[in-house]
Amino acid sequence: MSGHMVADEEERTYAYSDGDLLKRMIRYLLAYRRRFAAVSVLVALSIGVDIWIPFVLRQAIDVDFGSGNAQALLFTSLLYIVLQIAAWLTTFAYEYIMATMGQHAIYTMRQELYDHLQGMSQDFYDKSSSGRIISRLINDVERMSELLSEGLFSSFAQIFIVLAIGTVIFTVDIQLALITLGVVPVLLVTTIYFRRYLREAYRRTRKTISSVTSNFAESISGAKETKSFTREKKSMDRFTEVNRKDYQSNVDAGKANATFFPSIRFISGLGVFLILLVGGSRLIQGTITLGTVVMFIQFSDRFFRPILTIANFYTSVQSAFAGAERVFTVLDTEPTVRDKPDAIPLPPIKGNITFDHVHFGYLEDIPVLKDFELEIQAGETIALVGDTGAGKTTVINLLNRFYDVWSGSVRVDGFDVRDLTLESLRSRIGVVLQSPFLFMGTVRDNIRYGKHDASEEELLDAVEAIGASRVLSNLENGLETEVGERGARLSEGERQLVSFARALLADPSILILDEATSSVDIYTEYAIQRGMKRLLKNRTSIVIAHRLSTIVNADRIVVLENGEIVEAGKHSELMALKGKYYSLYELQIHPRAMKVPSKDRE
Amino acid sequence: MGYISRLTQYALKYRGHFFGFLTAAGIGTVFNVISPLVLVEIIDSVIVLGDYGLLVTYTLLYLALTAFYMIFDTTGRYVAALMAQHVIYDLRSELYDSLMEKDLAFYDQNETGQILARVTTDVTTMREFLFWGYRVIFIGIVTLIGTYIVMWTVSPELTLIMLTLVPFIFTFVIVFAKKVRPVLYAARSQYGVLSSVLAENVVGMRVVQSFATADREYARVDEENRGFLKLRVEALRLLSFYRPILPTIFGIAVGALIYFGGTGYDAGGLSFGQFVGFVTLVSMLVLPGRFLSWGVGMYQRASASAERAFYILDVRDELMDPAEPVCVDEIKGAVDFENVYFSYRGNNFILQGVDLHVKPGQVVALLGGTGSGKTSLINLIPRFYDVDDQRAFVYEGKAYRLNDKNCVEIGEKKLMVVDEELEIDCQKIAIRKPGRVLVDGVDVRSYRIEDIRRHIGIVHQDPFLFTDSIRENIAFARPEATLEEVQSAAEAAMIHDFVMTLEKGYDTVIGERGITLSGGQKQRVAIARALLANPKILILDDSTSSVDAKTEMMIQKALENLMAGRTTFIITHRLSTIRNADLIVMMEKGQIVEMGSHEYLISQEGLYSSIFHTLTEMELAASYVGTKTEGGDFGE
Repeated sequence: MSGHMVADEEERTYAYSDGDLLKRMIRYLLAYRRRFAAVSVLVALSIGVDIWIPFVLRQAIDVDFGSGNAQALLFTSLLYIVLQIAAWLTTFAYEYIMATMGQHAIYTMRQELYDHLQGMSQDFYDKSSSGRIISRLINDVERMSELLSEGLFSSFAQIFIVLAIGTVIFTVDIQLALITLGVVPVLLVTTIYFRRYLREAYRRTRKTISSVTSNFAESISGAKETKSFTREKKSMDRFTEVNRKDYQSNVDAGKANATFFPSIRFISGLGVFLILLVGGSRLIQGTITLGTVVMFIQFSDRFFRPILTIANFYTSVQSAFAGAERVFTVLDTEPTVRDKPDAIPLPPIKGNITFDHVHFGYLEDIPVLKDFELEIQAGETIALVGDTGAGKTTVINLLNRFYDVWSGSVRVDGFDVRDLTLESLRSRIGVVLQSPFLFMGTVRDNIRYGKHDASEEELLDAVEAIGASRVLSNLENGLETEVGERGARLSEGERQLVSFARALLADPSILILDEATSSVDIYTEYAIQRGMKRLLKNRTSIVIAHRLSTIVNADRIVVLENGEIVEAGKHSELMALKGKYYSLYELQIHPRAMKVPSKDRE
Repeated sequence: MGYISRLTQYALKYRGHFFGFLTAAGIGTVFNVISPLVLVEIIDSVIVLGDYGLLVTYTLLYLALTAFYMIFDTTGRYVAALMAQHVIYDLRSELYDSLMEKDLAFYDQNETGQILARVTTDVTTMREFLFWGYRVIFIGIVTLIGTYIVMWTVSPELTLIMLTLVPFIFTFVIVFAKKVRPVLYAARSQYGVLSSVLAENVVGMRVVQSFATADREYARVDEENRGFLKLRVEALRLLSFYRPILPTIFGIAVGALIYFGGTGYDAGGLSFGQFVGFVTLVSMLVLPGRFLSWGVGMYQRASASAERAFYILDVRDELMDPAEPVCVDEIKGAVDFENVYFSYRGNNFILQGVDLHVKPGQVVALLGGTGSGKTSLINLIPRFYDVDDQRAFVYEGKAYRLNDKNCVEIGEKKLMVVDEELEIDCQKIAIRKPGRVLVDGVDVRSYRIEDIRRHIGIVHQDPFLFTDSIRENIAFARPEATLEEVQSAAEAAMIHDFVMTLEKGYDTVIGERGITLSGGQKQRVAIARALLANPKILILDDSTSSVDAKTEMMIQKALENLMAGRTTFIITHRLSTIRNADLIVMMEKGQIVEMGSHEYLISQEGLYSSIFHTLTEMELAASYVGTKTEGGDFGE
């Protein structure tokens, strides 16, 4: 199995050796030592029974038949039946116990991983796409499921069966044993050959299928465009092309698939043929008994399943290792921001914030904030303005302790944020993000997220206070409207209103608001403007501001450039300076505003 | 039942393939079930006679039977694959065609992901059935009957005893279908739930962290994870219990055979060969049990999938071209909505009694939140949907529809229209004619759909561009347009200069396989696309996302170029555009709540006036301070 055969999703970095990965996976199983032992015993029993059964048949043919001993015959018959039931029950028992062990291990691993992810600091999420992280939790953990709950044990069991049968039959008849075992390598090689070929063929079908899917997806998303410009025919032609390619690749794969299994079975038939030929001639010579020949035919049949399982084992191990490696990499990544051992919870605060000689950067040697000093009084509203990359987001990231400062300190009411428990700090600080994230559920559920045990009255008050009641009650089902996945069924502006209400309900002492840059329908904009005023009232607020009105209404405008405060003050003062703020205003802030008055002034 | 037989109709279009693979599978199976007879012969005749030559002949015969089985089985599989692919090819083409013909109501009511799943995942499930389903069910039945026939030729007495196995086979099939598979499916769907909870929490991790709700979310994940664990373990328990049960039952049968065979042998009625042959035949019965169970499972799944996929073919296209369309070469652009009601084929009215009259060249600004009906209203003009053609009315803020007999139920009461009036609680409501939308005074339903759409241009807030060159995207409506025409449209849309900075210019491919355009660039390409189509009526959804000052200016300019001389319906955030509109329409819950010119609405002091004042005050406060329009104003 060469490396290039491995599909992309099975790629590995080899940060861990195979042995380490296996050991670590097994450690999850070893939490259930007793069951582990039980499975081993049961597997051994089941192998024993499996091998015993053909011998009983031989006994019946060679000894009991024609002996006239009805009792012996009945005994053999009953023994055969009992062994069948024993084989079934032992198999059931070990498979079931294995499944519970494996699935518990998977459950634990997934829960551990999720817990770990919750504790990870923001830099981790900045660095890796959420799609990848989700894939760790869902797909990569699942990859280990088959190996841990079936593959690992049953593959070993199958290998033992092959070895055990191989050994036992030699004690019976060397010549027939050689013939029977002679087929095994042929089976193995053919299987491996076909697997490779099939994998390639299916890889091609996956490609063509995905182009069919993306063509469908594009056509469905673009249905409105296609219709408005009446271009249905051209799209159809394009679809026909990808559809035809998919047809061809699937027919090719079908050809390979059609040959595989029948060929394997034929090879096994070849084994029976040889046993019949050699066994038959020796029967004629009288150097072997009929029962023995029949037993060999039965044994040759028993190689079939183990070979397929063992051939599968490689694939399932590769897949599990790839998953395990990625999962363990995440588990071994330590969060950079953690509670100190002696961290204290933040007592009720007024909301004074101090940035004291703060140095900080995301990458080593590339500082974003340089000797940053800012003193914010309780109840003050600060508007942060500046170009992209000036450090606005960094300021709020540090306050929320998504990152730790290099040097200097960030203090809330005199408490260094690093001395506080993360939970207590963050529950005092409310955050409204630029594109707010909503959870599946109703509008009401999402607002309640801010305060789990809020009464209906508090909730309605919050909605009313931010002026969202008109907009929200005009939704299809009012507050009971389902917001859809990530809030997709609401407009951008409505999502913002919901997040305002959510933040107001949580009633934090400090509010961080990353103002949305996108403009929304003025019907909603009106509510947002009023809602924001209410939200900022009576608390310390830091706003990454884009709207002119927000900036103008702030108590203080702080202008950032390259991680330093270049100007601070009221709008009129800063305009008079004709400095950085003035040029920002001219280029970015003012053009985004609605420019209503311009007409009157001309 | 219905859906699978419908799928079979498709398969029967390839009659040759269909019966071909069944025949091949049948013949292969026959070779398989008669091979134990050779064993019987070898043991009973050849060895007793001691003839080596005959032994070679018979063993070679055995090998030949095995080889034939392989050949026919392979052929059956291959032909089945061919047929399945043919059918899937046809089905996909038909589905695609059908999707192209659907009205937009279909796309509004069904989520994109759902439609996509119906035409991809469900079609794949149907392919599985086409490839495997017919074959395994057929082979299962042929093997079952064939094996018993062969048994009969060996020993009728033992065959009668072994007939007791038949009920076990069918019980197995039923238990799997009713007991085991439902748990498997439940586990799978729980996996889906767990996945979406995990995905949601990862994407929303910042919210989780900043609201400090980690414990609650951990518990929520734990609940779903535990639920999955429980179902998965239960499914595996049932599987490992029932899966090996058939071989066990047949093993027990062999055990019984030892006794009956032994006594039969002693009595001289049964030979060694017959006994061994029987043992082999009984083990062969495992296969029909497995195949039938497998076939039933596939049948169930394919049936559900076929139902979902055929749904797409079956949803009636409501928009039909009229029998005798009104010919139209040029339109002026007058648009009238008269008493318009609209719902997605239900009682939830999206539009309720809308009247709106627009003269050619007028600009109409629409305001309203999600669900206000503003988007539905403008979608009626290009006939993305049609208005409700039944008579309806509004009573106490709720819309009601009259049935064929001019009756309506309100709460408990059944009422009837008399003299075009309805009396409710001593209140008289005039019932008007069913609503309609007119372009140039003619009902839009009297035009051919293609004709009317050619005269209407649409630019969305997030325009969808195809994975194609920029040129092809701009010339989307008129693929025959020359490069000069494309360029001049691009110039008017203020995108030409940008295109020229690209290495391949207008041949640059955009989208998945090419370069990514910013929101502002996409919007301008869409404007160029609309310009080239040169429509008389324009629908603009201009709630742009953040763009820098220069882009903002360019979009504004491009839109102005586009709007000149056309009847325009615009959804916008620009107060200036709204203010300058000829008609401002404010909508809530499917009704027009305020309508008129800016001056008129301000004088009415309603919602519009308070929105306008609040927003202007905020902006005014800022704008008067500092500079006095030193180049700060663009595009007014």
